[in-house]
Amino acid sequence: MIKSLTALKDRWIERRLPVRRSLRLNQSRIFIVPTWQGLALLLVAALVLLLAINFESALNYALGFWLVAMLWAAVHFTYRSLSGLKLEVRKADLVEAGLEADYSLILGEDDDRYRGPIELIHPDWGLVSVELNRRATTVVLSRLLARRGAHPLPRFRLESRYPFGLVVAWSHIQLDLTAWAYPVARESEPTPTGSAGDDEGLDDQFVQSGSEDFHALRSYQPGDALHRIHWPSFARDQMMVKSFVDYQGRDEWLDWQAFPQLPDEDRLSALAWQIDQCIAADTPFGLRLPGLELPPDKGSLHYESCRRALAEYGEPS
Amino acid sequence: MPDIASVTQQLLDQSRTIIAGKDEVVRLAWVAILCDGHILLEDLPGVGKTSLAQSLARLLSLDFQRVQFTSDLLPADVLGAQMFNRELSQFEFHAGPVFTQLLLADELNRATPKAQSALLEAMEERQVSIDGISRPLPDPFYVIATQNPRSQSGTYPLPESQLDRFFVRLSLGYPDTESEKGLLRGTLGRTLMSELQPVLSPESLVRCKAEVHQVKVSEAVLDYVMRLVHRTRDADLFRLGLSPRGALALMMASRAMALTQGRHYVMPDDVQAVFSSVTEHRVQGQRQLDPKVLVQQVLDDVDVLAA
Amino acid sequence: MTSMIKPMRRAMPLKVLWALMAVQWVLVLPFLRYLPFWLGLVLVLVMAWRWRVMHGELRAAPFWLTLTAIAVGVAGLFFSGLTRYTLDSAVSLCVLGYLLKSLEVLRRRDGVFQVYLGYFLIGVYLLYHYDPLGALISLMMVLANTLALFAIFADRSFDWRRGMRQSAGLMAAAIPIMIVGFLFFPRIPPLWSIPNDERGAQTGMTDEVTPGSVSSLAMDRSPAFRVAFEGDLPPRHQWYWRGSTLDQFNGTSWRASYRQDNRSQWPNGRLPEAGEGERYHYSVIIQASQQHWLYFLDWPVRIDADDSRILPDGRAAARNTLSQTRRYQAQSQSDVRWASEPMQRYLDLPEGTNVRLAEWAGQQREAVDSDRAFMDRLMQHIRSEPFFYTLRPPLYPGNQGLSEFWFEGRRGFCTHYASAMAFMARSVGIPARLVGGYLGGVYNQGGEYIQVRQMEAHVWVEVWLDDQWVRYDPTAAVAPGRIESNLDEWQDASNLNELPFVTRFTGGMPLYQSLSLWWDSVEYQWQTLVLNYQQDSALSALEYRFGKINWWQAGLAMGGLMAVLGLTMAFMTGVLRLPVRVKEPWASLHHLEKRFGKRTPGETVSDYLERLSKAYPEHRDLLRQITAIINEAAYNPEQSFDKAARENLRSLVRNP
Repeated sequence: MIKSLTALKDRWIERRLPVRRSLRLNQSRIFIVPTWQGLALLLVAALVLLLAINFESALNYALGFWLVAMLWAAVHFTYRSLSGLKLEVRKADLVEAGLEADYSLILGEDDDRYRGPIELIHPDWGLVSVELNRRATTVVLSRLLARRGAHPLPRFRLESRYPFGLVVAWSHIQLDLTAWAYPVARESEPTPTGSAGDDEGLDDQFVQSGSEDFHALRSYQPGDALHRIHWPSFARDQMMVKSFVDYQGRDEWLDWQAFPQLPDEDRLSALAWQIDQCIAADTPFGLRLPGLELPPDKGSLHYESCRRALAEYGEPS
Repeated sequence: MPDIASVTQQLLDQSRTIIAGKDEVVRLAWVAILCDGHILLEDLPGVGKTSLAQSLARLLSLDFQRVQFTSDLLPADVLGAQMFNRELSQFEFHAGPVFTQLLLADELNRATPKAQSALLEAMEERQVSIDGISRPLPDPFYVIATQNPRSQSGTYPLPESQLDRFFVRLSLGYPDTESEKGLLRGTLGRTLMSELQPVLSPESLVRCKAEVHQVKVSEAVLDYVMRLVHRTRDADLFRLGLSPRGALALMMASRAMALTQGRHYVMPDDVQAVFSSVTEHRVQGQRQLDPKVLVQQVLDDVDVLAA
Repeated sequence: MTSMIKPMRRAMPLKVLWALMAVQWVLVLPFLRYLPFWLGLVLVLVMAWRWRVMHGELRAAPFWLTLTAIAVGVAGLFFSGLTRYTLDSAVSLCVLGYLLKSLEVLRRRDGVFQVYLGYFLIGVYLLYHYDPLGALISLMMVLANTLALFAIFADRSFDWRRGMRQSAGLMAAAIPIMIVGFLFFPRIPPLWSIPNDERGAQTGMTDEVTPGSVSSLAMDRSPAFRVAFEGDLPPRHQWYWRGSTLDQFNGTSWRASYRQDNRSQWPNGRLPEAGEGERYHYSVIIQASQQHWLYFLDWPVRIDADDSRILPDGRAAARNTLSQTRRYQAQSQSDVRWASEPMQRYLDLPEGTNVRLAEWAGQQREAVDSDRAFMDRLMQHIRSEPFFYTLRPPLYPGNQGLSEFWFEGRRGFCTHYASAMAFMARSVGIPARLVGGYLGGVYNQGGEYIQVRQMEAHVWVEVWLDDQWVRYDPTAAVAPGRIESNLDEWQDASNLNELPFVTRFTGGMPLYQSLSLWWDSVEYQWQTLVLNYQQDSALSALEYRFGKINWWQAGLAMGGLMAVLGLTMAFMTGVLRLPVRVKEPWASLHHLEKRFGKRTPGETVSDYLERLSKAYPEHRDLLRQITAIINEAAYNPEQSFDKAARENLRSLVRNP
């Protein structure tokens, strides 16, 4: 019963608060109630009114009603600290599963009003408090990503008790921001596929004229660079040029098909391990997943694309 | 003071006799030239990339060189090299084709990365360093590089990180039906290159380029540009957003575009006209999304008038 | 993963602790002069601990310290003689608790507790101080306390100036509701009676008068009560404000039959019936005297005073101690008809007292033929013989004191003359009693009321002649000016050096006098409007001004007030915003959009109008013209978009 009620409440809130990338808090999103402390103020006011009645003290009537009225006014003050607040997603991390990822949000905007400390609450990160002082402020929410895949930012509670703690205004925030976790690297031997097509032109690619290693002397051709001329032979009136080669490893293809014996998640882990190896060895690599092929490349951007591809595999987009 | 609007009109009129129905591409190329920018033409073979480059050189009275990039092309073939003169028993410098005012680098992606980067460096530095000696390239210096679509085999795609050395990336595409009919009928594209009359002297070109910086940008347009740029940095759409250099290029191109329309102030229309060409090759979409689609979506989504 | 600490359990940062401590000082200081000195010790102890806490020792007070503080506090309570329960001791206890609580102020919860206790303490302070100054001080206290509340929740971002703004803002925003509550909340009678409700010392007339005893009041300039008359004032020489009557004489002093200490035995009396002559309607606001006596113009024929009892001697007294200012209404007439009563107690004289005086009085009675003539003869005697009025008379001790005064000393003030005269009347068989009250007062022009001060306390004689109580004031005979002018003027004119120094000094300064008059009228207004606010009278004041108010009018007025209030708050909080007027050329564009459909976000003005002109080819030229104007106006920084151009655009847009 409780459960279905909770589900009903969740559904109701979902309907009221559709998922989006940026939002502005307004009446329909902000809920506001007095806190226990606010109710306690009513108790104090009642005591003061009791003084007023029993001692026939007119000024205590005024004080008592003032306290009550302050609670009423505090509703507006606290509402003000949330109303019109703009939230915008910025970015979320891509991390290895089992690590903490940061979700960055931008709260407020420039030329905003002073809003005091605002708290973002969710069991995953506890409580993050941020003071909004007339500027757009970036908030980072860290959250453990336990498994590989998509981790959308959960619906969290944003609340403010500023300035007097008498009332609490809150809103449930759901923003469309997803952090991705790529699989944990785990070593597995790939099964050699031995496809003939892949080996074709191996020599061609293996040694390429280049600049890395000295290979041999060859006779001068017009256009050869000055610094490559082999001066000892020039003294013997021979125009010889040092030729160099690049030993270019054949492009590494990390292939989903290379681990037919493994279940999907393990395959991804194995690929992640291979990626780590390639990065450590600084060799370019390409990645083949069912329905996706990333051409061989190097560099952090490429690494991120590959890891992201592993993270995204099989996740609904 | 050359009237840039009328120059533009003449340019378009004349180029239309060579490549019909591509006024907007020619205009964008002209915009890039006004901004001292290099052009990347990405297209299928046979749609008139070479003709475009040649006619531009001719119309702007620029020296023109063409290099066909192949897989065995060496950097020295582009830049030039010290040669040993046996008669004089000394080295002398033989300038490569890069020493020109307008270089057509045909099928740049067929060359090895080494040759590519030699050219890209020359584009960036506007000088060539050979055997420790720096040699400045002529001024002005433009490169129009053509590239076959990536799907074609046997190519070395340009490194993404270096694509933004090109001011704009243009694509001619197939001619529209009307133009192609004319082409087939023989009424279009019959003009010989040599019959084109220059519309601008090199000195006038310098003055035109100076003019671009005088174009006014109102706060409203600046805000619009910022909104566009911010949108390309939206992490959920783009893996790589528009860099500050890209934003600067966007602003410059918009100014030049305004000039070609005969205005001395920028309108959002100008920004929109250049946005795709300036942006597409500088950004990368998330989840393998096509930048072309994304950039168009940005244009559609971002409000022209207010946030 | 961070664990979440409940908001109220969170520790407060140092600067908030500082703010709380400062606020505690602000709240305790106004109490200091009323509290026993040992509470100062506790204060020092507590502040020393808080100081330590803020310099690194961030923990709650250890048990021994709390225990010591409590011990010092309770011991102090006993040694100060406050063992018996009184309001004063209760207040001391409150302040003690407030101080002790702050020993453990570290978490928000404790801070909030301190603040709330502080609000209650302000309420207690208001029991003692209800004058405008006291209200102002408690206003400051409320502000300070609210600031402390702000500090607790602003936490690390606490800032004094912002706190002041927010707190003052909150209080200001609450004022309208507070006023509505204050005006319309019904005044309920006390739910239970408060034992020993004494706030401060008793002032005013006492129940027992010995010749020479009232002189202590002569230097007290504080107001006793204020009287506002509807219509004409009675002539000045009739400003006799009667309080208690003193009818038991023991040879040296006079004592009242109806005393404060025998309240339970008070009979229910009746006022004299109205006779001929003018009737004066008036209302009195009496200061808290900690007594029960209410004062009336001689002689009241009708009294409207809550919680009071009419006594047989022509007056009324409050059933409960006057610990607040109180307002009551009465009507008086100079000509009344008294009901007769047993006269024996007005004739009782102890044996063997003032023998000479009694003999002398007997001789005088022999010389005339009526009681009335006897009384007049006495007055005449005082007038003609060298009697002197002085506030520093010699002492006339013992049960022959009155004789000594009458024959030898001949220096005295009202009590001496009144005692002697009443004694002589009784000795010849005329029923007589003393009346304690006030004489005269200062008419406050600005406030249109008479202010009667403690220094105007007076005693006179009433004798029963021809079935009526007749007032005789021997002081009028010896010092006529005392009756006709107000006391300040009279003192100025005559025996200056007889007066206490301060009165002499300040009395002579006209600026001081006018200022004090002004301040008194402020206090009077404060008392009538705020302290003795009564819903009926407020309503009648309104009706007096606006005519009869019926329910729907009242409801309308309330509704209007609430609506204005709500709207103001809504704008203040940003719930509502004033519509921003769209400037040209955008206004024209909006106009077009409203007419022809919306522009899509990515559409420029040119694109949009081009689309329109395709849809409405008949307007094409006009639309192009508009496009050009809008683009120029919006994007060309060098183009000035002047009024003529705006008008032009507007006319173009609104015409098709």
